[in-house]
Amino acid sequence: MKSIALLLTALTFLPAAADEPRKKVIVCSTTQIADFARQIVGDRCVVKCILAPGADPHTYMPTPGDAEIAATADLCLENGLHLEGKNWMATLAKDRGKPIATCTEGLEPLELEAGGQKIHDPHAWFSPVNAARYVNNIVVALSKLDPSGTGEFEARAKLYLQQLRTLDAWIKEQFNAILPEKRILVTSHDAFNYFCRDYGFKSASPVGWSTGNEVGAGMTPERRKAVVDSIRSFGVKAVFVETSVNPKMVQELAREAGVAVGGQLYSDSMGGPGTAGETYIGMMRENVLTIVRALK
Amino acid sequence: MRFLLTALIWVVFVGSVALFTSRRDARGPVASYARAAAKGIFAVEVTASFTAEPDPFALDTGKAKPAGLVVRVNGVEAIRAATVKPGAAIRVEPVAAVLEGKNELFIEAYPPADQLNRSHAIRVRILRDGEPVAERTFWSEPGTPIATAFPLEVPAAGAPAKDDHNDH
Repeated sequence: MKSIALLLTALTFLPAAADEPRKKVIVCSTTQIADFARQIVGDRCVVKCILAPGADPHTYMPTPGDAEIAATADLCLENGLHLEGKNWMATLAKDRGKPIATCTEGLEPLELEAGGQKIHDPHAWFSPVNAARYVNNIVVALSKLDPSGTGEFEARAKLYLQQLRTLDAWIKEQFNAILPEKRILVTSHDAFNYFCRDYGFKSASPVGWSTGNEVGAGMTPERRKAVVDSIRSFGVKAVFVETSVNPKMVQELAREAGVAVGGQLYSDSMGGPGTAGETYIGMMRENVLTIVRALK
Repeated sequence: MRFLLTALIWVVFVGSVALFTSRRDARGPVASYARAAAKGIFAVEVTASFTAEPDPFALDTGKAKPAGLVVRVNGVEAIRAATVKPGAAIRVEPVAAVLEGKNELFIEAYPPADQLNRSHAIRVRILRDGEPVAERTFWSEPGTPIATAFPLEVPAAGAPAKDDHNDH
């Protein structure tokens, strides 16, 4: 008798469990985009990221495991502007027949003069205003994928956009502690142009816009000499290494120019779980604190 | 007998829950309450002390044009302007959404990001047949855009206008 009662109880709750729909899977190229997507979807979708914390998107070579991850996607998200070297994310999505959205669509990219060509700087997320454009583009793509979730996506995005506004104001306040003539940011590669534009810094780096071998990328002796000369002539107090780039080159450059290494900045990739840089906002805050400590 | 009783209890229990949830979902809306529009031709006039620009941190999914200033009267959009110059009054006439008695105005205005660190003011006037019947001035907190809703009493035709009132 008891077993029949238990069976009835189990049958009562069975349909609810069986009716639960499969969560949509969003596959992102970079850690920053994955964080934006997580902020917007909450628990409604599963967000996966191809790049691990600390990995370099310019030089990354997709693995068979990445192709398997892409195969599970309902939607792929990429940065665009050739951040993903040789467009590896678009290729992964195309090979598996998955829809892909470009997060930098609609924003005005900075133009860099490199190797006699004009290059669009892909590191747009370093401006919180641009990060808001990423968020809006992700909301549009998700709403097309899952129209019934639009209200939820928009409500979460609105909250997150307010956090980005607060972040932007906080960064401006922090940099008030650094004199305008001291605002020179020397980093491993040319990733901080949007950041420098928004917060009144000049940027210099021995490597171009990409750590890969694209046009205008990589280190040249002329560029290295120009950076050392700039450090000396402007009296730069410190230079910075990046978490996703080998620090050796900047350390040598610091020795040559006789300046300190001011710390490590998150650039093309965020930090791992448990670190200050495991979210976009945490990454930006940590970078700002590192820069202020070293340059003020 | 016990088995039948157990099954009956379960049927009654599960049936009651199913009945309750289906009835609850099918329940119609509460009876609507509508007020008549106020008599006369109404205008809304807004003057800002700053250059209003579209908010770079707004949710922008392409459904509405980006705006630096939005005024809604009783939930109906009365003004949507991409940019507003400081000191220049924006006037929209007629505004059909104004009701006699209590009204609610919602105002959103965005100063440029580099001027957000100080307070800004915005003045709103409601005019009936060209005569002001209500006006109010709002100040933003430093670091935040103006986003405020306020109740507005529109007197019956012939009644005197309210005094100016400043909100800080």
